[in-house]
Amino acid sequence: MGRLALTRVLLLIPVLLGVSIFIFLLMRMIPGDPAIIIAGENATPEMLKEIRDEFDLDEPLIIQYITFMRNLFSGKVVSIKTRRPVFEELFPRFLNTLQLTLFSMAIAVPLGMILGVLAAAYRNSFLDNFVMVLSLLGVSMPVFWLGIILILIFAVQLGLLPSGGKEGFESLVLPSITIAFALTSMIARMTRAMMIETLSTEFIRTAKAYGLPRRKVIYKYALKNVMIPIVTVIGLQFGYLLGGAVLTESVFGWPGIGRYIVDGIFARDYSVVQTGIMFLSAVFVLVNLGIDILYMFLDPKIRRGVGKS
Amino acid sequence: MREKILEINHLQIRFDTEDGVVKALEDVNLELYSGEILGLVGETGCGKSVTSQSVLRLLPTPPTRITNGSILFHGKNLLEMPEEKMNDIRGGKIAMIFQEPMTSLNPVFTIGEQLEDVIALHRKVDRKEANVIAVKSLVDVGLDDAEVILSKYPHELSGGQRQRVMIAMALSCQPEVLIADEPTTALDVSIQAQILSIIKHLKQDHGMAVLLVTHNLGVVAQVCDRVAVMYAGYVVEKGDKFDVLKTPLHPYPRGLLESIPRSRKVRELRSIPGSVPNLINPPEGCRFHPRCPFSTGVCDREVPVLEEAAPGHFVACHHWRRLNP
Repeated sequence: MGRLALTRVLLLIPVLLGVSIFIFLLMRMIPGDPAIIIAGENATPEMLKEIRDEFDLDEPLIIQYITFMRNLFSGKVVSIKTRRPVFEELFPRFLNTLQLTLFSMAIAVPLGMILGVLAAAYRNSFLDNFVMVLSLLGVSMPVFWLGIILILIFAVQLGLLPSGGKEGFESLVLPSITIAFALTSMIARMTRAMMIETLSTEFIRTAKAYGLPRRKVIYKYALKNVMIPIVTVIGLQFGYLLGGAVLTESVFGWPGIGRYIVDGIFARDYSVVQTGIMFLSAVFVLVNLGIDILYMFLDPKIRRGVGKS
Repeated sequence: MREKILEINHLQIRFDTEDGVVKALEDVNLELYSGEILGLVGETGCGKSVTSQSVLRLLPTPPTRITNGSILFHGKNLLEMPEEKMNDIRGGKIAMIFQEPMTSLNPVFTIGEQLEDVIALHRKVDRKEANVIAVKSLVDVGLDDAEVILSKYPHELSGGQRQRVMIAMALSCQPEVLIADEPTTALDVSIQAQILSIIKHLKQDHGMAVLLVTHNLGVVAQVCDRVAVMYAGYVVEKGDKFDVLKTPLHPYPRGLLESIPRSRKVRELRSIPGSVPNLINPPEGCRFHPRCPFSTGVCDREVPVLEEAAPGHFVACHHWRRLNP
């Protein structure tokens, strides 16, 4: 396990290097001059030159890249727009996103798995049909639309919860539910499908042939097998959500990292976008490492090696 | 007198599929006596696996429908037994081993976990005693490093070891009947012989009655006492192994025996013409008649009944008298 972790952490170096070059070039390819965007249309040439000098915008690309990387490692990258250190702005926003993600996952993972397992166990029952229809709605409904509907009902009509912003626990509820609904639906459908597949395998037939009670067959013998693909989906979604559920964050005015980076793109704030994307790439790699370690607990073939005896 | 432990009467099974209703079993009559090994043979798709799985009610419903018949275990009909009581029979009274030892064991639990779960359930003992019984069972089937095996996962064992583990699981609960569904088909020939000799010993040492499902007549000759031959959902001939293998009365087992290649004399390899019928639209009358060289007008109209041609030797053919003067 230690070796796996070390390999993955070392792998971060080429990944981040590649990402940094890619995103650096991509930002330069987008039309638009950060100096003009920040100083405004009516800025004097002197003002523009001042900004360009300050952020080396007139230097050759290679110099700009090296300067950026040097600043990144010494933690001195500064936002072109706000002139504040990017890390100081980025990190609290990442924590906000993390909070939203964890809270949504805390609802969606147990709920989705329970619904999926029950739907599979009572296949073709009313419960199964209900879960399937509701989850179909969940995976196909646009998140921002659901967000707006929730705001209309719970904030505007009933006045129970705030419509946006980040003030205390109440403002976490609606965005979490918005994200959790789609996530729960996805996990429930996946769990159900995997469970049905597993229940028709030969080792489940063996468990039945030896008289193990149905509950034990489902919740012990089948469920542990189902956990492996489910963890994959949950892990990928976790990484994806940490990248910021931009739409949800926008609808609810949630100050998360997704919105921060998107705002950075609009402002052509190279420092923010480059740092933000690299940060998220690192998080994604680390989340995947976490999943792989989790696999080892679930799947003996990975833990103990295939074919070794 | 030998006791009839298991008796299958007029078993009829249907599968509902998208293409139509598969008439998998039509009229299956079998009996298993205490202390014997009964071989159930036939081509792929003849219904022998379906028959064996229906005893413990392992076929998924739907699509399976049992439309007629009874399966009596010590005189009690298993098909009408409540699920809870059925779970005491499964493993506890009638144990089963399967063709694929690769996939018959759960990949994410150790052998010990799986064996001990079953033992604790049926022997009504705690984990510690279950472990002792598990070790003993593994040693019984020739796995001497039992403690090591128990701590392993299925993928860490060979095919032969896994099948031994399955047999150990079967025997650990001291069942009266063992149903072995093609237990050696997926194994190397050298391992096959070992597994068969273990099954033979189970009969001798533990007094188990065994229903051995196989498509291999060599296996029947090697280990069985009696044999039943199935064709397209019917038992067409059954009786003592020597009677059926030496003097088969039905044209189908005759053809099967002729299609076994004999050593020494190099002859043309014979086979039964045609192939197994589609069981959605099976032939009328005797289901074997389209492939039978002796069929006459009566064969495509009337289903032949299983009649006792000689003591203990049954055959279902309109013409057995004519063919065996």
